[in-house]
Amino acid sequence: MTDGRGGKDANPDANPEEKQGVAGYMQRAKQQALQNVEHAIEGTTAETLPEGKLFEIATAIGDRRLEELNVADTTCGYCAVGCRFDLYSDGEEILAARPTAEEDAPVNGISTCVKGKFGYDFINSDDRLTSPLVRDEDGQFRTATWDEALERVAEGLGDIRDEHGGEALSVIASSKATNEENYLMGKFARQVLETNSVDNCNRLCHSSTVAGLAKTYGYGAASISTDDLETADCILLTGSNTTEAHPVLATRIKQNVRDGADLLVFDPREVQIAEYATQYSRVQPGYDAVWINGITRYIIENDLYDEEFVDERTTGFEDVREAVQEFGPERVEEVTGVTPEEIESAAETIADADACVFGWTLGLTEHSHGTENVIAMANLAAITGNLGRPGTGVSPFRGQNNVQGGGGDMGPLPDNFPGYQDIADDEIRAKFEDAWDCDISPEYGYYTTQMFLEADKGNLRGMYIIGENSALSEPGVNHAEKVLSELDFLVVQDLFVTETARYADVVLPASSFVEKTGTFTNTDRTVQMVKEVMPPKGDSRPDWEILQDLANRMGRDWDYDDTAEIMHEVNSLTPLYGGISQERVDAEGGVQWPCPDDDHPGTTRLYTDEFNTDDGKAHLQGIGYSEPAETPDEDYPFTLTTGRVLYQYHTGTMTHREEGIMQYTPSDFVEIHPQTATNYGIEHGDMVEVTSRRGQITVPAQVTDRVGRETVFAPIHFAESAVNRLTDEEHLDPSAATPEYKVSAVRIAPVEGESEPVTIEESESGGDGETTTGDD
Amino acid sequence: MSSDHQAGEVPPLTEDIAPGTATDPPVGSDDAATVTVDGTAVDLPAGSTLLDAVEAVESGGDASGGGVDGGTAETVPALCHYGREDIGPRSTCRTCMVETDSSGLVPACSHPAEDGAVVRTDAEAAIEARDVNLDLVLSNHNLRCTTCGKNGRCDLQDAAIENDVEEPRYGVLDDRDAYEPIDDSSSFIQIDRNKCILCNRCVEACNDVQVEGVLRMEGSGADTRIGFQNGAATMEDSTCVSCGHCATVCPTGSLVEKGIEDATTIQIPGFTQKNSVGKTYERDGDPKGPMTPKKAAERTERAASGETERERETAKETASDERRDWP
Repeated sequence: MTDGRGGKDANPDANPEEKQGVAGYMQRAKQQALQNVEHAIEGTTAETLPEGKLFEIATAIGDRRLEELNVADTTCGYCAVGCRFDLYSDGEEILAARPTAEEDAPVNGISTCVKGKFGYDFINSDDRLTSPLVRDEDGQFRTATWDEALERVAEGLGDIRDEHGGEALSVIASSKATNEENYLMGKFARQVLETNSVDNCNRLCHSSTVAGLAKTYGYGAASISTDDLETADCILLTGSNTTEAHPVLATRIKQNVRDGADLLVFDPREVQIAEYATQYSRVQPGYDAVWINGITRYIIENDLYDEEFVDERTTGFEDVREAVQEFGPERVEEVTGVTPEEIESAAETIADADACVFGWTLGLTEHSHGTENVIAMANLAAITGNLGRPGTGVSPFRGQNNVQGGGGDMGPLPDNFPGYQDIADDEIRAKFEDAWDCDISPEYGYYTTQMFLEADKGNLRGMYIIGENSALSEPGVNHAEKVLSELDFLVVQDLFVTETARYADVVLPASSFVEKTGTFTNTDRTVQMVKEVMPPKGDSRPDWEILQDLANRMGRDWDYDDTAEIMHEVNSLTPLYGGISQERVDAEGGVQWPCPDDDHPGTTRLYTDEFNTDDGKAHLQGIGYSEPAETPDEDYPFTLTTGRVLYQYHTGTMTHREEGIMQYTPSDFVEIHPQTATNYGIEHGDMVEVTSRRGQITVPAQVTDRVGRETVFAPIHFAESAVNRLTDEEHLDPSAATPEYKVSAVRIAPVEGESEPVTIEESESGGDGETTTGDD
Repeated sequence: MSSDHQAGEVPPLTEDIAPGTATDPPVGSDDAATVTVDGTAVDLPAGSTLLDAVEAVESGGDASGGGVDGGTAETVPALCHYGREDIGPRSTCRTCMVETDSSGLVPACSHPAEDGAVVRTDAEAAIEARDVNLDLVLSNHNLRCTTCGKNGRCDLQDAAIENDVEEPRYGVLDDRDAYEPIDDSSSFIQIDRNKCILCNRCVEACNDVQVEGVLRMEGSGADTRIGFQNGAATMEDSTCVSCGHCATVCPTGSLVEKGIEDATTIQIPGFTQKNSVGKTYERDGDPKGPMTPKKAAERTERAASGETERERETAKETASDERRDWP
């Protein structure tokens, strides 16, 4: 929305920047003059031109201008709900998102949220990377040709591979890139770099979901289709700020509540979806397995469980019965704060319901015992028989637009090939060694979070980071930044020079999702088309083209003509995606996996007949007591939990570049309970220092009773005051290596004498000081 | 640390949000039906209206897949009808009037498809009714297609052209002094009430689909206008979360997404929708947030500062009066 963009903007006064003084006077005079012209002509036409003629003229103009626009129906590149809409582009920028045909929008219909509907300024932002950058001898970035940049990368990564072996290299794949591209990222890592250390951001969020559900049910993904959120008569949500993180799913849930469904929300914060709930229970962060087991215990003890389902379709019930014994009402209340009445009410509601969906987001998973939390939830869903039928199931709400497909199904994972085929399995590994003509080690590689710990020890020397802002998203970013700066060689491939790219030796400009064609897989396993709406910006290239060029420079012979061809290769190696080709996805509007062959219609709901385990039954497992790795103590008496807000998205790379969005959520903040605020002499808007054993940030306080008295909350979206300076990088979930973002011990202190709104210019990360604090 | 809500004590927020037609009794047929429109028969599933029948015939196929030839004798605009996401029917615009053998002249959008019904779109009374009603809609519409954000993509424009509107009986709204300022205060959605045809789609999309409770129709008679449930004067002070449902469903250029509002207009400097109305409410410049507000707090307080206690009380009263009006 800047002015002075020359002839392209036909209406230069559409969004004028207010000027002062003489310039301001002249600007206003010009606006008035133009307005007068418009009014004069309008007045004349009103008197002389019949409306019919006006329509003729107007539609002629409209049609001609519409022809100049490119309209394509594509899938949103923000979150994993996977909304579809038509994007309008004039070749330079995205003008609008408008609804697309009903059969092409299986998940969202006409629904959108602010980000998917309006958040496209980043596409043609001034600081969009349009040519490769290489670091000079004197340490500065300069632009380079693709040739030079790619040769540097081939050399840098190749040298480390040849001298220290592929194990010294790792790839972080992009859960924002398409399925086809992620498949190539995994292939590149294993075939070209000879490493199994390829992972992505799923490690940071739902890896414990994948581990937990795979252990119990066999598939690590949501068993429902989004329709089930509309037909369930009971929904249990925990650790999900649904109206802000998955707004379009929240619309379905809210509609269902209005129509009479029960909504039980368990969360440390009274988030907006909790205000829509029929029951909201505040829980102490870090002890979710306790209250879940409490509900399970109530249901078992009062014989409210589904005996038939348990007998015929599960194993391990007795283990569960025994394990939940210790979680009686007093114990649950003591640890989590949930009263016996609330446990009873929730349990009775779930047991009474015909169809219950269990939904969760990162509040359940981002813990040092996240996998156990998920297993406890899986136990509860199974013993109540809420699986496989319409309106029932488990629904982890995935985060990134393609973390389900790209970050999981396509196998850029240290322990799996595409389709969750274990690399340790000799037969499977042989199949891929054959297809990819290379040797693959049976040893699991490093998980993302482990990569940063191993680099410390010198075991990892080079990284290729694609579309991931690790310098902000990793736990303990003070540590992550140090690791990035000390790597022998770092390549970053992204749309911008992100906080991570600042440490790179070579930065490769990638194209955004509106500039290429491929597929995304959303949270309910639906594979949908992504279509090119405008050509790649400047010299940027789609990730798959960059990878192909690089692979060929490093001794391979990739020659895919387009992404549809890549998908055919995926089909041939991945039973889960056997029948999911781009042609089919385009024709049918979307296909849900598992879909083993072309004749299979896709799978709406998992586990209708059997679970994906060796005996076809759900393997329930007793879960005992566990607590967070770091609990509050005298020095650090508060629990910090982190999360999302509606208008911003993840590390802010896309949303910070949208002026409208920055007006609604201009800065970071910390939510503090009114009682706590009073105790510390903090008022709404005051600057507050939040400190943990790892680091410190300074942010304005927002006094609200949304959080509990001993809990504070800060969002994840602001590089200037990166909340991950406070989180811990060492204590990871043992099965899934998920970090404990949701519980850190912190202390707070008002910054003296600064209770007026100030501009945040955090010197720690050299932020750009664009944001301002909230009001008083 | 215990919950602030005891089960059953505080009702879910959905009960606080005035619904659109979501809580209205359903208008579709109870059973499947076969309806004849202008001589062509169509089979329809249960829950259908006469408008479904008309649309099935217009598009040359029937709603349940059987082959049918030819269109309808006359076009039926049905402006306030949306047909997706259960929005409507509101039956306010009355541009869908058709003649039936059993019930005479009826609005097709809200009349159930009874088995054996015979519908004529070209009955004289139906044609005249639709014609006059379309003119009535136009009479209160600030017709300025060449500067409008919806030019070329507008349901009203399409309807007027299809119905060969040359000079509407009652003119259009071109009294400059009667124009209401454009609400340009939202970062994403522009509201031009002069183009609003009161179809109510936006209110329903906001309350029934998004279930957010931001928009409402307020006032009565000639004063009826788009308003905000929390009594705010401008969009930025409302509880709007910028989801875009309202702009998505608006049939005219009343609610337009910023960014595309000049994509199909006449490319002469100064010819903008804002200029053509001449008056705007701009952003007040107060920073918002940064925290996401609690919904309950937002709905009973006006966000704009400087408002008197009396104004706040009146707004609360109006809001609570509204609450008593629906079942």
